[in-house]
Amino acid sequence: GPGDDDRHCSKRRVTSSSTRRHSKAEDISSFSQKRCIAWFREYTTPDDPDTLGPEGMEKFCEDIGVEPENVVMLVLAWKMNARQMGFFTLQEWTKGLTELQCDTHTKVQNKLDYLKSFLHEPSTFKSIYRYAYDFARDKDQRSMDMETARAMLQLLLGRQWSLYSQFNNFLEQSKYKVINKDQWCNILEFSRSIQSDLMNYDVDGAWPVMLDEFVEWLKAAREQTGKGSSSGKGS
Amino acid sequence: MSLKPKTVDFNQTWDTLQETVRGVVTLGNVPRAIWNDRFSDVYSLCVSFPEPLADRLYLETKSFLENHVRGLLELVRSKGETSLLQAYHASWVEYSQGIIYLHRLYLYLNTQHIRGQKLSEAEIIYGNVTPNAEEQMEIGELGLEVWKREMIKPLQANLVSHILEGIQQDRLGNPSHHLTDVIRGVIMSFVSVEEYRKSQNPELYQEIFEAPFLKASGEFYKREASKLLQECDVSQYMEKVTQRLEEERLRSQRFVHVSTHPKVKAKCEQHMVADHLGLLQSECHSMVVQERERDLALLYPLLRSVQGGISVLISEVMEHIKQKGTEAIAGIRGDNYHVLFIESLLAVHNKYRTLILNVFHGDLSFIGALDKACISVVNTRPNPKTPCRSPELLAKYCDCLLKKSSKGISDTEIDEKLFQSITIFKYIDDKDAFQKFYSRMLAKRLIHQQSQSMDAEEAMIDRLKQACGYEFTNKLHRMFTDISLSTDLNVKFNAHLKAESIDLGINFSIYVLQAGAWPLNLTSLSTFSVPQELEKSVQTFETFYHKNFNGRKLTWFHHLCQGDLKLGYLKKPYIITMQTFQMAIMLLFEDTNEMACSEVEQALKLSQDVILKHIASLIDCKLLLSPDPSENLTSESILKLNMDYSNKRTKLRITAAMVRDSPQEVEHTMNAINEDRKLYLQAAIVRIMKSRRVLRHNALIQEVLGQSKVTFAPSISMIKKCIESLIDKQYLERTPNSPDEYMYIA
Repeated sequence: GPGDDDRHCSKRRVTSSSTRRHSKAEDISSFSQKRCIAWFREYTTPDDPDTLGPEGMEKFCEDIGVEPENVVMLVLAWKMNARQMGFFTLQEWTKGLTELQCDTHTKVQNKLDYLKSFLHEPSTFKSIYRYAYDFARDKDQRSMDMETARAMLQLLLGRQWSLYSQFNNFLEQSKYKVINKDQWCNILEFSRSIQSDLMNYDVDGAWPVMLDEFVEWLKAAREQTGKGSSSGKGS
Repeated sequence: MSLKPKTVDFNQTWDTLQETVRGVVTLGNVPRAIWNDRFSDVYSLCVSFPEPLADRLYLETKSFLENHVRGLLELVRSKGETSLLQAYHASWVEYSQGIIYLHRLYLYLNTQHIRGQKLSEAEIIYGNVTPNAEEQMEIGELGLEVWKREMIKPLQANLVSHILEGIQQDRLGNPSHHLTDVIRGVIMSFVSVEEYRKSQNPELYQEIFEAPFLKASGEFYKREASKLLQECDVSQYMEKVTQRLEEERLRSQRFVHVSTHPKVKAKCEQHMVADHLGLLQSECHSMVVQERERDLALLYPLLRSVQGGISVLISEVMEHIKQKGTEAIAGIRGDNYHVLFIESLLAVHNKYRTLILNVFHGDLSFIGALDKACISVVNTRPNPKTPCRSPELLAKYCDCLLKKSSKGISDTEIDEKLFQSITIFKYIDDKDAFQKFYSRMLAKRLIHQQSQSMDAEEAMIDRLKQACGYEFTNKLHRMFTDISLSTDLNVKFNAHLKAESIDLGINFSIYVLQAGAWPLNLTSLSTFSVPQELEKSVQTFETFYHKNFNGRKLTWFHHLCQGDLKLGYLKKPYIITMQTFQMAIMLLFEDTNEMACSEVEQALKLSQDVILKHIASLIDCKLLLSPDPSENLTSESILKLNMDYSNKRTKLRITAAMVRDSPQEVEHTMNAINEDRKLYLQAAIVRIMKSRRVLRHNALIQEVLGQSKVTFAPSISMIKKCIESLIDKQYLERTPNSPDEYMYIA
């Protein structure tokens, strides 16, 4: 991939550990706001020079060598405090990238591991998770539609929550068409605090009804398979 | 005589005094003059000169009494062991009376000499002084003290064993009546000898008599209980025990001091009831299930006497009533379901209420059990997913009592039944559902003039108000007001017509009903082009009304209206009361004898299903003829006026079919109830959170349940959904540091 090439380049130049583009060697190591804005304009059109839209986004992802669905893109958006999925405004771009001290795609590439590390810190993860709700939501609606919600949950909890696939199945068969913010936030709390055997789940707790129903559904499903397997053993 | 102190010769004076003292304590004949002289002698000795001789008098008197009592002891003993009680008692009667007299003879010594030395109560309580054991006593007390030491102490073991034997014989059914007074007298002497003591407890009595008595009683009843249990079944046992308890109560009164009564009762109960509580409780079930009232009446006071003993019986009674109630409503089927349902429940309630009053003396814990059982039966859901039907059935029950059709029962009977229905009403959890159904049915009765009596209607609403408060019946009252205001309005309108010389061509009257108070659905209104014959009335009234009430909007509920139509094309004239849409259809046949359904539809601008439904009703009562009765009506069907229509009656009503409740209507009502509940719960949650600001989840749930229980019992998940929707609407939020705490957002 392009990342490998860049790393080769930087080795050949034998400079410091930070990477640079060989074409502009002079003072490329230091951050330049001007260069940052100029880079932004590479992805915008003259009709709307201050908004980076879906097409620009696709190109940007290609340049930094990341799939648009990669969770690191969410972290980057979170760093920029981008309001709407699929778009960066000039203001969001400069604020976020100034903080990261990035004005080239290589610099961003080198920050990817750093960005990913935010996901491992529980309190930062929580704020990224909560940010994701407003970021991905259709701004005309108060709640998030189910398709988007399931995609975002897959992205954020798919690997780390042992009950994720069951929860996803539950949503699929349920009558819910949207997820509201309270439900969204409580899904994370639930995934963090409730054991996969559900032993520490309290019916009288304040969980949203959706999660009560999930527990009921899961218990019923497990009883079914439990019966099936025990009778299977018997025969 | 002189009161002046003088020198007195003690020995001489005491010798004469001693003789009188002997006479007094043996109740001998002491002449008044002698008494007076000796009384003065006591005074003289106490104040004698040069030194008072009171202390010496005291000591001599004491030793005299000691000798006297020792003499009496010998006498009592000499009468032999078998007559011990009688002999002791005789001596005691004489001596105790004599001591009372002696006390009076020594009045001066008592009041001046002895009381003066005594410590006051305040000194005993607050001072650091301990009462001196050698302290002198007043003569009365001294005499009793001497009796206690010199008579009771040596004899007590024998006395008590004779007493206990006497009581034992009494218990065994061999009472010796001549001994009763003696035994009681002896027992009471143990109390009397200490009557000068300040203490409340008769200590001597308790020590030498009561303790062995209670022990003996306990043993007796323990044996008695096990003997009875071998001989009797439980019913007989309870009977015998009850009898024993009563006998022992009377025996206590005959023999022992009042302070012992509760103790001996407790002993009996301990050994005859509490020790066998398990047995008695194990019999509760069959007694209750078989409703053995006599046994239950015996069992009740027995179990009541033991702490915690009654609870098993209470819960058995509750389960039984629940069972009987469930059975009573299980087999009911048919059109009359609501009547049978309510009356069966009432029968069960009345039966067990009577039983509780008679057998358990109306004990409140049993009344509570009855209430709990009834609540459980009344609010049972045959299927957890569907709402309970009791509210609807009760409203229907009231409806059929209040409707004109309820023939054959008198007004007082109807009133009594309505009164009874409040009993069931109080048990209903979903009172809001009852209210919804009731108001729908009331609306129908009022609009279609089906009420039997307005007084009965109002009386019922007052009863509901009493049971559930003003808020609950507010709308019902407003409906009533509308009806009476409408009567006035019609009078005014008719006067207006007269004054303006307007002829509407028909008789016209109208109800004006406030939106909001009536359970009428604006959305179900269908378009309708009013027949020409009625149009003038409608318009004239609208003009009249708007002139009188500027700014009010009138909406016509034609589907609720009716008219009398006179049919002149038949052999006989008929006057038929029909629904307005039916009338509008009939009026179309004024100029023609046949017409297609589609033409009717066009002329009246009613929706197709409404049209077809009303045409079908006219075909059903044979006013119209359909081309082919076996086929369903369609827009193309050609309708014919039935020129051969005939009926025995010339005045009749065909609106009945239109008034009936459809299943959808019940469903609509249930939905409306649910919507109201959500609003109610959200309002309650907001009110609570507004005053509390921050509240834990469970506390909020409890408060909401507490507030709503007057009108309905919401499910927890319904409350939770309302909380969530308020979070979503940003009235509330979860506090950041605790997952189950909410915060009000101002």
